[in-house]
Amino acid sequence: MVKQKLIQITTYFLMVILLTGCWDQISIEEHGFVVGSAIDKANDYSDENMNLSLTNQIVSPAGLGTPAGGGNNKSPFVNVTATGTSIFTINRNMVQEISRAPFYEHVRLLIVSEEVAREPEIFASILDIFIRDQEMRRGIKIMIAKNKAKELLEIKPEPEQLPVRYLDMISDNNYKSIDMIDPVTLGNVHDFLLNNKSYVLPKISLSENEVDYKGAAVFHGLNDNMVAELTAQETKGMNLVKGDVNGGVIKFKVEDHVMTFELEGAKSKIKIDPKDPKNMDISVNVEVEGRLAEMYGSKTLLDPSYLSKIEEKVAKKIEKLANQTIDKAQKEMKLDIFDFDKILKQKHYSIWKRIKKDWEDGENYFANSRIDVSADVQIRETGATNRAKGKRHE
Amino acid sequence: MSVVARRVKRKQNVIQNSNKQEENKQKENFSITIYKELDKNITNLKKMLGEPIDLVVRPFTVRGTEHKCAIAYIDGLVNDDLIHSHIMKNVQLETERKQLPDEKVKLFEVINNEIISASTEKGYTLDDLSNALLNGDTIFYLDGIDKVLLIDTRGWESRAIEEPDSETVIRGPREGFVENIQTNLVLLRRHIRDPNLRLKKHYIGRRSKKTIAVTYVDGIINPDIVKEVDRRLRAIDMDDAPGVGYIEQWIEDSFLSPFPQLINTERPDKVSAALLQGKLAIFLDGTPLVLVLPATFGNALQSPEDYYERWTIGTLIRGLRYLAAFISVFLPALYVALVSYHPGMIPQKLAFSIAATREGVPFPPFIEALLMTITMELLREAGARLPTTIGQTIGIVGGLVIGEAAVQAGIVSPIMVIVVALNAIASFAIPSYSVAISFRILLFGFLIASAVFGLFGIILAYIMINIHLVNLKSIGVPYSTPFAPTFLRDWNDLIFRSPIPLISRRPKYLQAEDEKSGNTGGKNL
Repeated sequence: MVKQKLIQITTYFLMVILLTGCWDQISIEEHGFVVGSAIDKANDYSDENMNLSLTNQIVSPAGLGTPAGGGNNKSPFVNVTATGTSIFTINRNMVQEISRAPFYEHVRLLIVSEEVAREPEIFASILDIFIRDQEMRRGIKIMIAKNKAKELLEIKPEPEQLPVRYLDMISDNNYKSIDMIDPVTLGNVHDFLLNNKSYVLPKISLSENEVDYKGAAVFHGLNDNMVAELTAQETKGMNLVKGDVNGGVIKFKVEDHVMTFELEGAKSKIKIDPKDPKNMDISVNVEVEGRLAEMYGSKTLLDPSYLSKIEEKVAKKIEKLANQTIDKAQKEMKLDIFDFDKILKQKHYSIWKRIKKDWEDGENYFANSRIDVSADVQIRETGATNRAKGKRHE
Repeated sequence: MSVVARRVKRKQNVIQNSNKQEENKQKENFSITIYKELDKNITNLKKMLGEPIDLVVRPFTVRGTEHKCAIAYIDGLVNDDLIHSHIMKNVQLETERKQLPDEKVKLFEVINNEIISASTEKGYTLDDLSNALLNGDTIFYLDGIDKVLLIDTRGWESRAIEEPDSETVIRGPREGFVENIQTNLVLLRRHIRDPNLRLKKHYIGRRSKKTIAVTYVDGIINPDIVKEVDRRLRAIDMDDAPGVGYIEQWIEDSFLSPFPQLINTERPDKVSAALLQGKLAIFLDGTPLVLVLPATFGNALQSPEDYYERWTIGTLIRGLRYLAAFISVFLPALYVALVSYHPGMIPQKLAFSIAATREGVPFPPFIEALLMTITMELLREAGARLPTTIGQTIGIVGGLVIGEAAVQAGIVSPIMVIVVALNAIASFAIPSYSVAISFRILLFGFLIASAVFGLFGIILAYIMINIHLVNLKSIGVPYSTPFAPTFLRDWNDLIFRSPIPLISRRPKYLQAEDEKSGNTGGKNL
């Protein structure tokens, strides 16, 4: 009895193990690790035949070298391009071109070219596989390339070995700049796609082998296509209104002296008075803290009146930047890139329910609202000494 | 055939065996009774033992009388000084000063009570006699009496008390048990000077007749444990118990389990601490190892050192040991699972560097891991059986030369070598050898599971082990307690080792009669 049972159990156990084998097992060195992808229109793109081209940057780990041994002469990556009508078929085509099947769990970056992003519906459709495929991660960063996205994967960056890692690290430097927006991940974009609300993605461009990570692409919420773009200055304004600032620089002039103010953080308080939806009052108060990084001229900073004068100037400059962006958003784009809708939804839900459809579309209450920006600036530090240069006799 | 039926049959064999022994005795023509005649007795004794070369029989007469007498003992098992000073000297000198009765029975009593100064017992049958003789007693015959005196003259060479090699501590006592059970019990007595310390004697081994001592502190221990151990010890039936492992394997609850269900130790301080918690210890003559029971999983990862250091250090060392246990069971399996099934779960830079080092390695990770862990086991086994000086050479040749050469030859990846080395170091950090070895068995199980199903397989195997653990018992006490069944109070001395004054109660899972510890935490000041 016991013996029989033992034999039975052993048989089942061995069957489970031996019949399944090492199913799904692929050794780590046999994967083609994709670190970044770029999507462009294929050369033969037409309206009937929407051929896209996908370029994958595949790492060849041996070329990266080990910390001790350094790299050998092999290139650390290969870019593989394939074309097709859907990302999935492109992937299948790509397998024929490279010995190691693309493996997407380590993708860091997805770059979509502006011409693809401008086509209605296509942007959302190509993201579908990136969002739903089990190999994809929600932390993939998404950027919009001004020209061909593929070119960005071919730069020769220093000191990084991989172009993708270079781009990835640049986008993380936004804590030192307000010209760029926070990196947007696939998870965020999934959120955006589910709401019929306009959103902003970071823009990247290549000019003469120089990467320029500035500005932003504005997407319409209904068709999910890119409709406008913000310049670096306009991005600054948007960031300030949103209070989405970790650092950055504002240049201005005081008494004809150039001064540089380094932001250390900004908070914005937004109040919306929705009593009359057709004519809403939105007041934005930006509180900025920072230090005076650089000053020309030789006036002492210990003089409180001089300091408050500087603060006033910074505030003026901030208000100017903000208003410039608000103007563009209300008059040109007619899209709420500042996420005022979130505040409406949170604080005035009953009204929001009624006007939701007419906020950006239809009546476009956003474009008709009055937005008033004021800034409070506080200089926290003036540096180690009150001045660096001797006072000129005036 | 069921286990019970097999046991019954074994018992029957035993009875048949003893019948055979009786037959043998008759064949060899000696009688099991003791005669009145001295000569007859001596030839009888010699016949029974087969005239061994180490049997010493010394006939003499009681001084000042005509009474013939003799002593017999086994050379080497007895203390010659004792025989000289307590028997020979007394029987030959003391008798002069005394008025000895003429009647033989009275003389026998006088010699027993007044002359011989060592402890004596009376023997009536040849069985008593041979047992005593082989235990190192000396037999005293008096012509004309059909009884003998069994005089305790035991004394043989034994090793000096040394620090146990297998369980060294830094801040603890340096003494360890030796092969002599008397010495060992003395060592225990010196730790617990409590009248309630009970030492119960059993004999084990049909032919070896070894002494085992069951020790516990009455009034602390739960009597059920004593009863159960007693029952199990009585069931033991074998020729000999050369080491304490024989007893362990007779009385453990599950012989299929990879986990050791009793604690082995050479340290008197560890035994005494366990007895004072409400546990029980079994000493076996002829081995320096002592069995402590019941044991739990938590005990497997404890060392006396935890208590000798201050509590912060004790706690951190324990935490480290749990980490070591985790590494020694899971690390190679996790590596194999991540590298062959889930490269997406490895941080990006690490994944690339692993992939770079694996480039050109001919084996899949599982085979690589298996090769390396088996090599590790070979090295460990080879080192353990060799003299220490050569053992170190093995370590260097094996660890450094083979490891380095294998990497250079491209047979294994350097990261695999790191994984296996880390795993080996972690398993050496587990204080008990038998526990460390059982964890190595689990390692191979997990390795196979991870090779077949990846992380999923590891989780499955982990669940299986857990189911087994919660089912396992050690002398009726759940092995996984106080984790499950949960006794939160006992967690103050589990992974976290609270300051000694706060461990004021004996472990709840032992259900001690006297739950309060000898430690009041200073409340009665």
